[in-house]
Amino acid sequence: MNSRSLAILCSTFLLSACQAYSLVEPGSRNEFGGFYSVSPDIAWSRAEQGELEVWTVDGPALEAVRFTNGLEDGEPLFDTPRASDSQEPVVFRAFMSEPDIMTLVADSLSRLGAGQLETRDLEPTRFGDRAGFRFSLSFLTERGLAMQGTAVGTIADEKLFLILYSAASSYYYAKYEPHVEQLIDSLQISPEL
Amino acid sequence: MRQPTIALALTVVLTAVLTGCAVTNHLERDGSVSSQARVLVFTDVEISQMTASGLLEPRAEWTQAAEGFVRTSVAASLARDGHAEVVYEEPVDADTAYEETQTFKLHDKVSESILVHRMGGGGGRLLLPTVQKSFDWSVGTQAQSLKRRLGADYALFVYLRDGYQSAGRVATSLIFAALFGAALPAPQQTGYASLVDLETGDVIWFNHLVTGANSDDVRTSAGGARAAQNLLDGLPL
Repeated sequence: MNSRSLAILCSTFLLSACQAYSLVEPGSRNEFGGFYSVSPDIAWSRAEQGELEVWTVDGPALEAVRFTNGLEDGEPLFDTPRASDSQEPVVFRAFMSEPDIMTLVADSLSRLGAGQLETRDLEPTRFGDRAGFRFSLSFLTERGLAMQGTAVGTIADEKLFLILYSAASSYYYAKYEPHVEQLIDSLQISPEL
Repeated sequence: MRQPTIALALTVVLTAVLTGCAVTNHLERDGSVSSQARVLVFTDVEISQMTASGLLEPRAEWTQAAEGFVRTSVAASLARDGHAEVVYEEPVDADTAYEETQTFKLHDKVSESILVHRMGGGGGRLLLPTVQKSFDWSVGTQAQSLKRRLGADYALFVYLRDGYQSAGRVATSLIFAALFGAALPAPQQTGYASLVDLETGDVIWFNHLVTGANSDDVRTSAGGARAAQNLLDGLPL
């Protein structure tokens, strides 16, 4: 095993959220950015993570669903504290195409230390009753753990709404994939929109 | 439910820190374990020196000595209870090596998740409501690769960190105490042990160890053995 510290680090994506977690009850309806809502079939733990909300059952290092609340032009998907002054920030642009969004997710993860990143299977899908897109991804964490992911999103009013599921390829991705697909199936656009 | 759990976790840690006693806290999955089991043992030990400025610098000779004492004590404990230790051998096949490495890396993350999100490590701020009433972690059935290849029933992971103050650190602490009436932080002995069923991949037992600054010296045979005994406290084998 690699040498590791028991110190608890609050990084933005690969380790953990830094806010206290609260319970999401199965059957409850949960809204994001006043634009869309989902209703889970199992209990999840939720926490704020910058501009995102993260849901997990066993821990975000093992499996997590991240919901954006409507990313605006010029905003990053994740906080990327490692970016040096010489690096261009990785941010969402309202004019981005769907392949651009795929690259945005990949580059954002890369800035957080992910390696061997692959995105694939970009295809149109429904985001509630709106036209959306979905794609798959895989990467290695900084410590080399293989991860898999699925992203589903749409751009509305020049904002990016994205649901990003990532989990350890071994055991955890398959364990929670049906519950994430159920979340996506339950997605509704807010009635006033 | 949340506040009493955090308070209990903090009380346990503070008790250990203030008294120097070893405090262990273990979780166990329901079910039975085999007698006369074959157990793969993995030890991960690192012993550091705390410099005058408070940095922890790993010391190879201390680490090597402590790991040897811990490993010997774990093996003796298993043998005393009728179990056989299995020594890990690197696989020749690249696919198998990758699969087993992924199992170990996943176990690292599972262990961190148990410590932080179930047991309240790091001050208890990141406890997950979804895991407080159960103990249901696993590395999955890819762990069967170890069972098939090495004939082991279980994998026992033992992780230990400890440190000792340099002369400069001790002097700095004395000056600080004389000036401000309080001691500077000293290294703490921490660790965990985890037992994985290699048929299911389930973590069936997990023990967290926190010891204060006055813990036994793991650089000695007796101290290393005591740390190993504390780490194996409550082992269901």
